[in-house]
Amino acid sequence: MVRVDEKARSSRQKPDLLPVIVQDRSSLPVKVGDTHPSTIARTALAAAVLAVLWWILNPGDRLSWIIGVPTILLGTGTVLLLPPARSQHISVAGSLRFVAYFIVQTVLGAVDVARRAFHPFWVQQPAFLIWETDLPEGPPRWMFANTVTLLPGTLTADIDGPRLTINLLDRDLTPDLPTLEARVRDLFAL
Amino acid sequence: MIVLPFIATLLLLTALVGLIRILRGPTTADRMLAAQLIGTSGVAILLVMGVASGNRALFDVALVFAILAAIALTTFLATARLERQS
Amino acid sequence: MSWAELLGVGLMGLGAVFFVAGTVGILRFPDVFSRLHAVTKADNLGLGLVAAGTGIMTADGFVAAKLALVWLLIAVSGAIGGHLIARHALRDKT
Repeated sequence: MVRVDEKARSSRQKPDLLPVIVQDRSSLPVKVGDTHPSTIARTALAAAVLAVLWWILNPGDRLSWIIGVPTILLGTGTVLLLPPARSQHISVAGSLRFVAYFIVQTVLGAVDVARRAFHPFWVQQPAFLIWETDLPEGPPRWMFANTVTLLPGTLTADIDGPRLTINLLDRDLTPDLPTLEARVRDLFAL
Repeated sequence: MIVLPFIATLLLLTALVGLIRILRGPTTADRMLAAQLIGTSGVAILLVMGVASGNRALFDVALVFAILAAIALTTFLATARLERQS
Repeated sequence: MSWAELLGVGLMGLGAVFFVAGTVGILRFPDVFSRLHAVTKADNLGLGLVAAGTGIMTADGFVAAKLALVWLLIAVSGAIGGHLIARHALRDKT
């Protein structure tokens, strides 16, 4: 694995092909609670979510539960085989604000990429950006990395701890990553 | 709605043109992302045709396509990882 | 033709425009990363618009929930998949 990483880094530093802009920021030590949900809570949640899904897929079909109930049990068993996730506090108001922000940015991102695709002359030069996020490991960082991909002109290409390699559609772009970090922090009530 | 089959045809055409990227490559990543685009187009076509024909079973087919797209991607990445390790 | 139908068809047509943009993008953009931008962003919104149009035209809560599920699956697998394909391209270059 180390060999592969070094290979990636050396390829990243080809000066004219992939310009690298490094943004150094000290990462904050963030304490995250180490509470895992109990097995009973996990079982109940998984079964409830799967039951709701089955109901959505087969509305008003009582006979479908003959297949549905065993499927839900199998699904719940599969969920229990997975390692438990650390329980994560999510702010309700924060998640609503996040969804609104997310929808607006998704539309802007798609319009931006469509404009570039239909542009008669190609003038953009792709570039890479290294971003050190100070979001804690786990769901917050994961959420950040994946929403970066839907922001206008940015795409998470690699994650190495807090270091994200972000591809820019054009080197003149200045993505508003601090705002996204703030939104993620708001979502997880950090 | 008379317009719907035309929208579905347009979507089918974009998927077909996307095949050019699968033929050309040049990397396996290019081919995979073109396949992802065709999968998404397939889902969209099914949704449009579901409305046009009034057959709601097509929405279920779309759901299966969406799940299969995710599985195809996982398979590609797992294979790539295996190849790298060997 | 009712207003809801007109709105639904309009959304679907707009979604198709984004699908065309995505396809034009993957054919025109210079490298694999730029093409990923086209697939992850344009197709995601394109499918979202087509699904919204479908939901408006069928006017059924259960169908709408199913459509939301389809879109969510494609959006999540698109974002994660886009990132993983980019990582693969960055590390392997094959």
